[in-house]
Amino acid sequence: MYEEILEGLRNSTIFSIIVSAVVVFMVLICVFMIFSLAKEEKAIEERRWEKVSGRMELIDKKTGEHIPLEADEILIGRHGAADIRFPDMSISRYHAVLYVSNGVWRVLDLGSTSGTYVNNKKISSQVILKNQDEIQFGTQAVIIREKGRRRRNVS
Amino acid sequence: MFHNGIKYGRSVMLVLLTHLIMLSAVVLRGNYDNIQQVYPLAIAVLGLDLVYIITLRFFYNQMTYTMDFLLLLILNISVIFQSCFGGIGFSSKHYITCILALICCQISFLLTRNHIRLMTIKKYLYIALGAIIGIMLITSVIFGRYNLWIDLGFFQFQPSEFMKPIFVLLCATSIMEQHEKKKILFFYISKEALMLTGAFLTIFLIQWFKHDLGSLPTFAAAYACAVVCRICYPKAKFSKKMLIIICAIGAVVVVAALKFAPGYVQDRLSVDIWSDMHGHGYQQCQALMAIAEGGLFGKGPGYGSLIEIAAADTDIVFSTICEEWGFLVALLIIFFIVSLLILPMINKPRSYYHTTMILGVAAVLIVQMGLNIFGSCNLIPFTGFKIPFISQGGSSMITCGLLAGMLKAGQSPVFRKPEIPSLQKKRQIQSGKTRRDNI
Amino acid sequence: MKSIKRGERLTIIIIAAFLIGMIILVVKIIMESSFYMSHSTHVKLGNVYDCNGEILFDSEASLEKYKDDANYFIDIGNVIGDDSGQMTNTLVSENINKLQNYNLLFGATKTGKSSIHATLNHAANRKVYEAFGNKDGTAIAYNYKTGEILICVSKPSVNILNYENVSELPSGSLMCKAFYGTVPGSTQKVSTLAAAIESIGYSAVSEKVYNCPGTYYNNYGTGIDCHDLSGHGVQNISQALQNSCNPFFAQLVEELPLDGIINTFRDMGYSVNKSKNKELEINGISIFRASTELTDVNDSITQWGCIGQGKTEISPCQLMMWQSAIANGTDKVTMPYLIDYSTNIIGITTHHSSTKYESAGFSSETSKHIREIMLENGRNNKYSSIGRSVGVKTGTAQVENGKHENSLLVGFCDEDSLPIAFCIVIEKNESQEMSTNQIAAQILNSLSES
Repeated sequence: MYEEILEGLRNSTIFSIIVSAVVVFMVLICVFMIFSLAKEEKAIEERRWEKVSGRMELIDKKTGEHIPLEADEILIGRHGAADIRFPDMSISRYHAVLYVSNGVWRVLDLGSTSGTYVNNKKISSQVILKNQDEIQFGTQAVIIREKGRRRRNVS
Repeated sequence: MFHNGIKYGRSVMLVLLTHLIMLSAVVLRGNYDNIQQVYPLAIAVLGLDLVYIITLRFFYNQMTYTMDFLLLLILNISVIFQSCFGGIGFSSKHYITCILALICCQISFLLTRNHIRLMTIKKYLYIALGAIIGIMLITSVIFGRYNLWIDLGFFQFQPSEFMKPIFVLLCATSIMEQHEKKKILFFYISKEALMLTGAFLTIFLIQWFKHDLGSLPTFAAAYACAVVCRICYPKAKFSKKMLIIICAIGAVVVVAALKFAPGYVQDRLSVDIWSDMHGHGYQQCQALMAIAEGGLFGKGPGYGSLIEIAAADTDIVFSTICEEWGFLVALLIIFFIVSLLILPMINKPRSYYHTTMILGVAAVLIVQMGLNIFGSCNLIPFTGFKIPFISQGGSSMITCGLLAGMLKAGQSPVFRKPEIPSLQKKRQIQSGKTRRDNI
Repeated sequence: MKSIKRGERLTIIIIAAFLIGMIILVVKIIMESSFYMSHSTHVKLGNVYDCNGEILFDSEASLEKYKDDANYFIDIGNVIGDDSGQMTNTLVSENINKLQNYNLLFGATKTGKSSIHATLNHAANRKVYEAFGNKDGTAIAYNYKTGEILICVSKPSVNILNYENVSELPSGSLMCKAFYGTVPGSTQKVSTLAAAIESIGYSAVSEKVYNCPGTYYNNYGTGIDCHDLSGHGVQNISQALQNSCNPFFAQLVEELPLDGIINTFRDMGYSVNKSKNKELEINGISIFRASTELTDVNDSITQWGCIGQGKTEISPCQLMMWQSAIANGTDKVTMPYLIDYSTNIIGITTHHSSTKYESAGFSSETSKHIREIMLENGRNNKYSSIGRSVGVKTGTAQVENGKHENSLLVGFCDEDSLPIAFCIVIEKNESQEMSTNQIAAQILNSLSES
């Protein structure tokens, strides 16, 4: 009985199309589900990044502009390709690099002509940056500090 | 609840439901004598789903799971596809390679998620690449074939395939240490870039002398991406003028390569398949006819006639799927694979290393997939490539697993382990070797 | 950050390039899928029906199925053709994509309603085929008001139910001669007359009188023989056409401007002196384009070309088409067609023919005058056996270097209920054992019956 019905259905073109269409529909839904899931995960990932980066940001001392730090290696310089660009002639094209690991930022001078200063001390190797430290690239000064809105802790 | 705090119940249900619906489509439309023939496939697919999801839930500790779900979805769908070609059965060989691919994905994820650690084992990558090239050279001398197939009974390995993930990793790592470079003539050249170019040229020369340029485009794409990344990298000090010059040189090289390619390549490049329907164009003609015969909704799993053609489950697998499952399903599966590469664009990587790695993976997978699909459909010359995750083949599946692991690493990266705030740190700052402080 | 964005952008470019490629692929597959299927053996073809619903092509035809009438398909064998790939330029071979029970949406299905409904009248066609008796030749007739080709016969034909060794078939079996070039003989004089009227006006042409001594020696001293070697004496144009007098036309051509003839001929669709001309086709079947060589009005090659020998070749189909303009008395040729309508896989009509006209190359005034001359010719006792009011022109064409003579007849029926233009060729009819009038009568009678 069951097999007869199945056999009848299998011979019908419309039935085949419906079955196929359901498969296509399901696969489509899955694609959308994966994309919406990826968006959810993006929010989680952003929170995690805050932990990794110690919720730090740079503040331009002259203009008071907030500069986010969104990668684990940030190049500072005058060149158009630099991650953070200061169009100031006292800054070398590739001036310094900021690194982060587990909420701790470091700065490394890339052999710039005018040098990099942390709290008015010229640096020669990697230096760990603390909250409210002042970094000076040439004549450009920035302050690294934790973002204003405080949460419980940074792990 | 998974480790990262997101509830994945809905997604788990959807993945299972999709596989169930595909299996019921097999039952309803498939070519089988007895319904019992479907059982092994159903049990295998759903079993793998459940086992993998349980493993994810209890034993994994990572930040994102979408890549795993997507991979599981694709692999099991490909198991269903491969089992249905030319009649419902169960392709145990493909099933095993799929499981291996999942395992390899995890291995490469663990290996590549922390790029700082990877930098320290970089030399082993070169050793591995050298070893593979060595094997290829030795076998080409001893056996006269450069592409050694290691036959393990149930499936075959092709060592040259494993060069792809290693090459992608090398591309990514070579970008990292850009400071250590010297100016030679006009170019700032780093040791890594030189070694990468050397590796690429070695692969190219071996293929050239063995008259098998088939897999060259994959390496060329990965290498081109590495080069482009390198010259786009801020510290590489390339001006826009230089970029344009390099692009122009690249274009000239490609044109010259096509024009002065050896005869056996030229033959491949210019075939009017319909006038040579029973000769060189046979596979492609049959593949195109199969796509047309299947229509949008296919003939039904197991009813395809293309399976009698050589390489129906590898090189022209797209047409085989089109014939049995329909053009729409085949397109969506291809979109699934592309989604693997789109996911890192949604949940963006946080380091340049992972960006480069994802770019390399995208280049390899897309070039491979594009050459396969467009080749079998006569948009471009036909070359023997495999569609990642769908085509049968041990080494190809494992390679794709490794590449997928790299994509996953870009999604759940690890940045340097916590350091011990002690004297050690001071010493490291003084010695200037802080980059390797926390391995 | 910028450096990460750059990498992402590159990745997106790669993915986008791939997706663009996929879109091209999808478009290509959608556009070309029926072409791919025409190579496939897994597709079932639909049938071709005639105007009364009789089957003209059956994809499942076999001797078994048609054992009651093994010659069922013989009359249309080389017009409709089959899907074996042995014949080209037939209705089926050129329209196989319309017959395929295939559609990208459904794939190749076992049941489908694809079909072609042809304009041919199978019953009449068979009668005409049988009327040829043991003679070879071709006959084509169409409705000059609508353009429907009602009869198209080419003998020897091929029985599509039963042929295997193509090389053993008599030559010409696999092609419908109505669509291929043949020497027109005196039927060409209709075109020459049209060119003369177009060039110098009807009144000038009607005033011309020339003497036919049997053989006329032109300005270069070459003899133009008349079929009546004793000569027709002094005649005007109307008499000359009735007598089909070669010397008259040779003398007429000498007094015409060469440019005028060439221009009219080119407008009519001739390829004069190998000039390029518009392709002519009927539902995908390509039709031989009329061609001739005209270099010098005093030269015998040109003169013979205008009389219908020499290097002139015309397809019977095109001869018939000019008759439509003459019969209608207009400057437009009614374009013939073979497919009335076709249906797709689910039975929806996809292609519906409509009557189309094209410029005849001569004015409606000219065609009215020619019409009168031809009707007058048709009233001649010679054509009484046709039994209807017709406008006709006969022709005798020497082929194979004068070894054989083909009899031709072009014309039209001047009855409102039977608007038929036709062209008949009987091959190797030098002994006149069969008259083209018989075939013409058969065509008109069998068409008037249905």
